[in-house]
Amino acid sequence: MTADISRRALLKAAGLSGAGLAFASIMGPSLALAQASARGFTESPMLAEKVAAGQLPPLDERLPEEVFKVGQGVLLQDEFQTWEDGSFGGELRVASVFPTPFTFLGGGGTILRSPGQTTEASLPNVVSAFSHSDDYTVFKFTIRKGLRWSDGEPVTTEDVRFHFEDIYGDPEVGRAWPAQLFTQGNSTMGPAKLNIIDEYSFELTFSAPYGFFIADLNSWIPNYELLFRPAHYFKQFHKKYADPAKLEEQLKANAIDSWSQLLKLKEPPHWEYGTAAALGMPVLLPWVLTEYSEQRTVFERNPYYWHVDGKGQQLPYIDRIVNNRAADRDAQVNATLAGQVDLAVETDAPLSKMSVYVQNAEAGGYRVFTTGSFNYPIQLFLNHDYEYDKADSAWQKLVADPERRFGRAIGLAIDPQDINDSVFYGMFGEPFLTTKSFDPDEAEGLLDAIGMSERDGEGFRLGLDGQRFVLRLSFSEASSDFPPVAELLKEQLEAVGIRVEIDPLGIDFGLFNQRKAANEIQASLFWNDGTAWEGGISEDYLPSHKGPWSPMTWQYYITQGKEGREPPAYIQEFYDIHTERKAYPPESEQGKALYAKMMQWFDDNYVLFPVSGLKVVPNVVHAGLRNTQNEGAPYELDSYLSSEGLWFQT
Amino acid sequence: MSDTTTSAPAPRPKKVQDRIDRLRAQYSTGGDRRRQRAEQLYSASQWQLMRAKFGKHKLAMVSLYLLILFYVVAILADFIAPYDPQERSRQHIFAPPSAIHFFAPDGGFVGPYVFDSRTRVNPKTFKYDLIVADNADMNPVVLFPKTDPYLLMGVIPMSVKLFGTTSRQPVFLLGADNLGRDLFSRIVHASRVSLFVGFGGVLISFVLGVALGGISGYVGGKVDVIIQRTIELVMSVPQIPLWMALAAAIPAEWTGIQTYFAITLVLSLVGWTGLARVVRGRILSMREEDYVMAARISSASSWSIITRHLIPGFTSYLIVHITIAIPFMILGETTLSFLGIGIRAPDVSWGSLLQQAQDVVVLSNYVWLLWPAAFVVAAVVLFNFIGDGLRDAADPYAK
Amino acid sequence: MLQFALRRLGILIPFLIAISIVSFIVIQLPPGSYVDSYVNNLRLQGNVVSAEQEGNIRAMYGLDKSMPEQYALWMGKIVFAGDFGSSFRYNRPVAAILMERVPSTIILSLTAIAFTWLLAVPLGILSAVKQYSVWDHTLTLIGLVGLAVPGFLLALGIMFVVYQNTGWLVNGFFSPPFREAPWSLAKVLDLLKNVWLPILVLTIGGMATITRVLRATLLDELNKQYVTTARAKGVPEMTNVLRYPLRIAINPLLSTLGWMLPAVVGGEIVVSKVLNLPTIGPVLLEASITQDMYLAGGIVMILSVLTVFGTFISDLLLALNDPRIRME
Repeated sequence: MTADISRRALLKAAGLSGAGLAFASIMGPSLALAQASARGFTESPMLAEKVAAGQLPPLDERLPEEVFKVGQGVLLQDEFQTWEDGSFGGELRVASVFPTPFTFLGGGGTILRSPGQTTEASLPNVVSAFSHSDDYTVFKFTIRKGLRWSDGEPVTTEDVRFHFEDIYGDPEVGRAWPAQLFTQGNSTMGPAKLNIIDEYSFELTFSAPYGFFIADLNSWIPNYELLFRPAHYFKQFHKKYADPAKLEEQLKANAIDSWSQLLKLKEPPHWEYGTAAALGMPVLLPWVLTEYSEQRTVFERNPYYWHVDGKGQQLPYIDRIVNNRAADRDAQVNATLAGQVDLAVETDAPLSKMSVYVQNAEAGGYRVFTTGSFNYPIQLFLNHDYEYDKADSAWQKLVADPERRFGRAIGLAIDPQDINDSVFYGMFGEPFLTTKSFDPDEAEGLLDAIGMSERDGEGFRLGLDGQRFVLRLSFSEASSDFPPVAELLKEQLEAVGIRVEIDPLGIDFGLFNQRKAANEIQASLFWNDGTAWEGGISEDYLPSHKGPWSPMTWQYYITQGKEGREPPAYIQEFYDIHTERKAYPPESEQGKALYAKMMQWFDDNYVLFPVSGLKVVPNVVHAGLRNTQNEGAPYELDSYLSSEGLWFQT
Repeated sequence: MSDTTTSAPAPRPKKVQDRIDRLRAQYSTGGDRRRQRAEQLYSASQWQLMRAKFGKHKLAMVSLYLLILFYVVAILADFIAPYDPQERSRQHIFAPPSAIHFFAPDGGFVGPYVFDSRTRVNPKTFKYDLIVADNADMNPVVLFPKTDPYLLMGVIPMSVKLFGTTSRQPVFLLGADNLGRDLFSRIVHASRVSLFVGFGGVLISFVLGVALGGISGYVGGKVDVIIQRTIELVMSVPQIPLWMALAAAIPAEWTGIQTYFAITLVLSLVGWTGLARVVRGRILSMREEDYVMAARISSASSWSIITRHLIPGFTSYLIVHITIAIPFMILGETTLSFLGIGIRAPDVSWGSLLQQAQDVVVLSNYVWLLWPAAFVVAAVVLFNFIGDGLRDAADPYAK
Repeated sequence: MLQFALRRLGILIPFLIAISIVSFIVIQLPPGSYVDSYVNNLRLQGNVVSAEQEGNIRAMYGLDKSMPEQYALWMGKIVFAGDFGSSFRYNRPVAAILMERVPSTIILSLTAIAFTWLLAVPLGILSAVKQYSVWDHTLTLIGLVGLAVPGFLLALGIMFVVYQNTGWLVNGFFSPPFREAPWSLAKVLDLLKNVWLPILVLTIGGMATITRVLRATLLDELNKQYVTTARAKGVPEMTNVLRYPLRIAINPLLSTLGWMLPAVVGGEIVVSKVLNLPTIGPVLLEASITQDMYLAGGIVMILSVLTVFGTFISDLLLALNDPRIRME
């Protein structure tokens, strides 16, 4: 290699930029020859030491009767990952703005498991057997016998009962049911009925066909906590079970007044499993939080994790995850450049910094490749409910046009290729959905036809009421590509005569959400999880989830008509498709047909406009890291969600 | 020569005659004005003295002229900037400053021109590289090229710019930004916001600071205590929630500049406290001086004692305070943009341009985007040099 | 003087109470509350949150009580139990967060202030004594560049240039392996390798204000007759400058000395973000934005106490420095 590299290597050895790296390689894959257990399993030397010291039971006693075997095509689809059985040890360093590194802990703990972001080929994961009635109303589960929480306590149906009865069922706890547990995700249809059969089996019954539930069982978004909570642990914070004196002590130690607040604090959702409150909480994940400070969080391997590789080695391979906190996204990028990060994708490694990643790859000791994304590119949303309760609103007249000419004109005026070339290095895919054709002349024709032909002194079109017309584009600056995209959209829409005002609402979503709740947003920019809609992992196409396109009819929908706006016929059509879709598993034949129908609805009704083709995002990974996904794989998040398979090669 | 009866006196020596003439002229009615003018020379007002002294201060004078130039450029931005600040050239994303040539490739002098060029992403480094073909066309850079008609300062119809090319190839004096927009044009337009908006705010806080600080220090006692505690209270009030409340309260249909102006006004209502404490401190130490005592004994009013005897005692400080406040004024908005207030596109300010440059990608590949910093520094330096000149001019003891 | 000090200390307590009330109100000025956005998010996810449940959640956080009651509870706990409440967002006691971040913030700020004064005062004197010399112009220019270039850009720029040339990237107070390590020589060295940059940036940013003010006010004094007289009497030039003119010239700086700490804390928000420093500034920003009111309130209280004590010290120094200032 060149002299330059050896100089850098020296610097690193001297404990400069790569002190952590040097540490990782010392700690790296262990060469110790581990002996297989009676059942044919091997464990990390780190755990073997603890067993030898009497701190842990032997491996065979820690694993359930039936383990979950991981190999080629299990975590990710065959074509997106080349699986190699690895070796134990090492420390994975990440940098995150939050105490919980993005979704590290979401992977590995779903109730069923399908490769990647699919939901169809469901292998039982937390459970050992799973079945459902043909009409998708009754779901039967059997928990893996001998499966244990990360503190060694067995997982039983008591964990499910506690979850249903003492958390959601107890009015004093005051917890709202998660949407997924309602029949068809619709709160008005009531939650699932739980029927405990014995210590290991239970049944859920819904009041109507709910095939979509299968996607939720596969999804890392609700994860195992959709059905399971470590009851033995939470009982110490629950008034019904806890010793009053100890509860009082806990309240004091946490500076909290009520036990329900304490319980809520101690029971964070899985995306907060890295916060201080999660210390000591047993989990069903590859790693467990063991250290928390404002500067970093450390996760160590779960000794009871029930996944093994082809050689019988207990996963994960890597012993520790160290998450060094970054003050903001830029600090995160800097940590990556400095070689302090072993794995970063998507928001942790934005495309806008691609050039510096690539240029510093050698110095930082990492490689860079691109994959598809879980997220759609930024979209423009038009709020069809804006000013719905204002008499003679010019905006309402525009969006109520049965031919959707205003929306069509917007779609034709947006030039996704220009935005792709100018902001995304031309790397994003082909334009799709409502912006797939670009024809400003036709757009002008449509706007003239709808009645916006009159123009003001500056050449902008007047509204249907003959007054000044402004399209206000609101957004929170979630990432650095929002401002340039907003400016380009302004230019493109103004080219067909629509006056646009850019309305940035800061870096936090607070102001945006307030405006959204008050229905004060006319048009907005936001991304959503478009590529995960089809498999049912995400449903954030809904009218008020990201950018609002019909927030008031959504309110009507979820309050059963008590509040909000009664949906006009075309929006009711959307709700009908959405509801119908819930009856079937999303990747079943009917599910796919309904999904196509829904996308057709989006294509016909112009409520959202992707500003470019599908996203392509960088994956920055340590040069020695194995079992990463392949270049060109569809979801960057899979790098995180399959992290139990990662190992360091030296 | 009215007296013809007496013999003509012997002619006086010229020097003596001149003096007599001058005295006569002075005591005659017509001489009044001249006399006054002569006396004025000896009793020039403080302001005149200062102006004369300032005029001799070369650095300050040069700075003053340059600063005036800055303001003229800001006012005539539409004419001086060759392009609209929003005008993009899709082929010139991150184009470096144009190389301006004077000699043809064969060596003959042809006047300033730029080659046809474009930028393209390098697929290996993901950096935008400048591409100039081997036999690229030459595009002369000329004065007063014809452009689309526009209104200078919103009133004067014009259809020429100060300089530019006559072809489709733009000239980027300071390079182009992430969307292929001319940075020079953007800086010139941004100088409007940066050099004008906000001055009102600084003035308000200046007046408040001097007045309240002066009263606090001079009157003392309970008034002092109340004003001082108010200052501490104002200083202690957390500002971020205040801005947020404001961000939510500002009507959505206000333009960015209106919002920004409102913010500067509020900023100034908080910003007077520091100055007020300094003024008070100085007055506390000076009010015991003999000359103040003398003024008080001769029953001068408090107001005139403060304004005529005390404040001139620390003019230097006041000048420095104002000149130091300038950069905070120019850049103050950058922190506010985190909260969704401050300058928003399409308006640009030096601060918002600099914020775009706060990026490792810029530092590593496109350093010319740091140019706005040079303009801020230049403006601040000019203001400070002028301040130095004023200080020297105001100092009666200065050599 | 002692009497003055005691009297000032006496009004400190009621004054701090006043500050805490105003802060408590201001923190809640922005529309909405943490519970509003929490419930709003739940609803967006399709959950049904009944009015009763919303009430429960509000009660859980104590937000169902009137503002005076909330204030009394909050203050009471701080005063009687040292309990600052719990952060909504961080899910941990505010006191724990303050303990982790406030000391490093104060040490960083005080160090930066010390460096600023140690450098700026002599340079200001030099600038005034050698007015319009090469020294004066150079110092003025450097100071003004420091003043005019925003801290975040300066920090990022220096960080990047150092990185390009040495491969060392300043990121936080410590490199990751040392962040939770026990103190050792290596850890101290690592700290020095990182901390010089924020100190440099904060020092450069604050220096110009002091040198410029000192230069201007000192020039006023140096030309006065008592200085000329002293000079004529043969007093050595340095003694002459330091003995009287400096004492008068430094008055404006002493007046605002007490506020340098909060000002530096405010100024370091952006620098801390760029350099990834775990200080209190970014947390205050975040807590304010997300209306994490007990956290924001706790930080504001700490800063206010520091400001008030700073002002008190500043007043004492003013009086000690210049006997003409009467304290009544």
